[in-house]
Amino acid sequence: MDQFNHITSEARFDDQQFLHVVSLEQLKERELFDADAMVIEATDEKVIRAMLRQIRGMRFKNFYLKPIFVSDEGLSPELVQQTDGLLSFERIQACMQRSAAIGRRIREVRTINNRYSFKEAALVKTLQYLYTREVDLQPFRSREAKIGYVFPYLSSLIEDREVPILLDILKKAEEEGWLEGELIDRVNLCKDCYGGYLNFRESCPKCHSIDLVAVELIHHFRCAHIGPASDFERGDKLICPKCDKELRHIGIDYDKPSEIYHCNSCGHESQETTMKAKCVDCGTVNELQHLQTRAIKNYQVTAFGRDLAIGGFKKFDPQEVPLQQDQRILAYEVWHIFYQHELQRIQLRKLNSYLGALRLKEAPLAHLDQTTREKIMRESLLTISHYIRPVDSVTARDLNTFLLLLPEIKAKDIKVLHEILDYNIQKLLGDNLGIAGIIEYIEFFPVGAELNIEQL
Amino acid sequence: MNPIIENILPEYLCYWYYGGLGKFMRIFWHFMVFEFTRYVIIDFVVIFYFWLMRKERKRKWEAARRQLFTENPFVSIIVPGKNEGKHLFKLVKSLNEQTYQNCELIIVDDGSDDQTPLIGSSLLRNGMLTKFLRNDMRGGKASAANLALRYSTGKYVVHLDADCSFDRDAIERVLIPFYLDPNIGGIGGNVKVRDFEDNLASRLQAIEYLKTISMGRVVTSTLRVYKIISGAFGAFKMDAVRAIGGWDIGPGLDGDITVKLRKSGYRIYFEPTAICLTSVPANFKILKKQRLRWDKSIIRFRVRKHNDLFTPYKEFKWGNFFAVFENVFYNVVLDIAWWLYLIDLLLNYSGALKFIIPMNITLYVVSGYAQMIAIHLMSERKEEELKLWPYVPLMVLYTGVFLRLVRTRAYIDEFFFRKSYDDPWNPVKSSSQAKASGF
Repeated sequence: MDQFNHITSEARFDDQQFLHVVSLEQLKERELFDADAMVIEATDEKVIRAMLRQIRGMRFKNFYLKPIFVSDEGLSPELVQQTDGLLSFERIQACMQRSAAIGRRIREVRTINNRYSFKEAALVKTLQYLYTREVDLQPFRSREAKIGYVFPYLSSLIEDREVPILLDILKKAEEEGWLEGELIDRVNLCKDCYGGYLNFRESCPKCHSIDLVAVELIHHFRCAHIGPASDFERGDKLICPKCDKELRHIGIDYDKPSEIYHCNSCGHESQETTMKAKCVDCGTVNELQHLQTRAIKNYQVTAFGRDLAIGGFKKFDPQEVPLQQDQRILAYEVWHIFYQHELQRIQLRKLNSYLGALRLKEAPLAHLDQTTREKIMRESLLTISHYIRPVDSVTARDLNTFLLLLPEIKAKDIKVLHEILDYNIQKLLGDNLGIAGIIEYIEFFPVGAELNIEQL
Repeated sequence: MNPIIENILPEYLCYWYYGGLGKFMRIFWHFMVFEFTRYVIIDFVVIFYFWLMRKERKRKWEAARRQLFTENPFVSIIVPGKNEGKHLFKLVKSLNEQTYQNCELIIVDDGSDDQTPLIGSSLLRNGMLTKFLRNDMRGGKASAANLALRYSTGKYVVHLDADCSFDRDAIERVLIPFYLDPNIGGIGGNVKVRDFEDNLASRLQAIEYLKTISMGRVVTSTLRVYKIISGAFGAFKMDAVRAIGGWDIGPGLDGDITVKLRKSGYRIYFEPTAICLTSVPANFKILKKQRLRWDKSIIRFRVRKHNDLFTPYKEFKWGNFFAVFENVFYNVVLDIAWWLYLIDLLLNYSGALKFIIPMNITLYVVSGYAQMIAIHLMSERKEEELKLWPYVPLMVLYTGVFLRLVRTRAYIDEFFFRKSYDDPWNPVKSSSQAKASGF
């Protein structure tokens, strides 16, 4: 974007410059860059949303993390929560302080890398937003949102129709230990469009019609005859079709033990109906078991997530961890070169080389400070290197995954190594972190072209 | 020498040798006139008749079978019950194996308070049932069966108990007799004991079932006085059952509906080759409760509700008369006669009981084995049932004492106190109304 235009005004509070904007047309980029904060003066919520999306979609931190306030008190609370708050005469001081604090933190973080994928960029931006605002990622209910919940900042980066991307980002962030979630709700979403607005209806289990009528059953105690009420109705009386006696008194002569559904479309009669959910957005009729059930959580940024927010993505480099010299512990990139060599070697000769993967469950190191984390990583790598052969090598691809390259190894040695690693890593991490069952898996795969190590 | 062989045995033999046939008949009139004739002689006569007619019977059977599969009628299998969920999967599996498949399966849950609703719904969702109907308020077995009947769409209805399983061709075989005689309105299947090797109680019941059902009903059916289609396994013509209003309140509703069908003019048939295996009470205490319930129904239905069969009414039929008469005579009348017989022995032969009792036991054991031979000739499970033979002598105590005492108690309870209406087998709301209406 070359220019932002149509500036309403520019205000200075102490030494802070607040840029008042009605729309983004003709606004110069330089002016936005120089401003400490932006105040959207527009009143049309659609326009405001579009402005938020446009600014936060930019790729420079001084734009996408810019403190943004709104001025119209009539805006919906949901929209106000997507900004840094409402700027009013009474709140000028508070907004200034907030803007200054956010500005200081923006200076601490790096602009996102141009090579990041859309998802990676959205995640890092959101983490940076949470870091600079010092808030948790707390979703709030919104009728406007497709899934019924809006996530501050993140939702303004992603189109409502691309809800799966948003949910994937949050899931990945939690799995990798950047965010820690606390369940607040579950939503059932349409299998086709992920819409959360569903109309639940009972339908015929045979023909799926919703034209069902519930009919009460009547049980005549005296003769044990039972059938729908229509069997007994004669004028305004109830007469038993089996014994011709009049049913006068419920509880004495008869009762209504249950009801049965009659389908007006196909005539099927059944007490079971099939509940289906019709998506209000796309009209898809979902079987309940096909609905996408997703957890809605409050997320806190972990220490690991804070590091990501500040420094961006970087591979964990064991060589950065001060180690006793052990040449079997390699940086991931170096280890990967060794792996590629091994791959070529086994294509020339028929060798039984294996790749070992040890993965930890639920990112247990993500919550630790950097010093403790490095110390535990170092101890883990040293423990593993202690039990492997001189020709083997080990690396930590990330905080949760250790990879071992085991050239020309026998199956029985793998079995022994599996047991040793399982016991020792479990004991090391278990004792230090006080968590049982910390290992998600230890698996060994024959080295081969079909093996995708990025997915381990 | 052994004193028994030296003294008692010669004395015993002399007593009966010199007493002669007259004395023997005087003492064992009860056994010789009623039991030996009915349960041994007639059994063998019927088997001989079967043997004579075997070719004709086979020809008719094959023709009827062809007709069944040509017409391929839709059949409703109904299974009413309470808290039977644990049996349902096995039952459904057993029915899925059947050679006759043009059926719908309707299970009625009569107000179960266990996992039955969950299990039934799950089976329905998986397409293993046609209908699963539930009464949230329990109404009793008759109302559950009637609910299934109301929503059945078949030409024939097969009533089963949930704790039963079936030979692969059982449904086919219970349907074929409808094509032997168009006047047949109901057909009883042959109910045998499944886990007969479990304990003594199940072994004795297994022998009893073989005698009273597998053999006994062949005889009554052949003589056209067959009067009870077991609730465990029976097939009915749908229009015939609907015309008589389905089942009335039990206990004993299976015998009751059979008599109602007979009174409507239908022939009732027993098919010994349609085999159903059922569970039986695992001990004598539970067995006693079951038999008290069953035996009361004879008084309630045969003696009281259907007593018009004994009087000339407009639809009077000798077949119906003899069917119920045989039932009442051999159960109620002979039960009373047995007590009189006992008094007679005590008064007139108290000194000779040491000779009479061993002879009595000998007669019952010998006739018991004679019956087992008859059963063996008719059975399709000859080898398995041979395992029951060592227990036949114990039947003297089982049927001669245990069942007789239970029966007598049941008759007194029902005849004088109408205790069947207090049976928790039915909900009070139904029993009280049935009692007030004289059903």
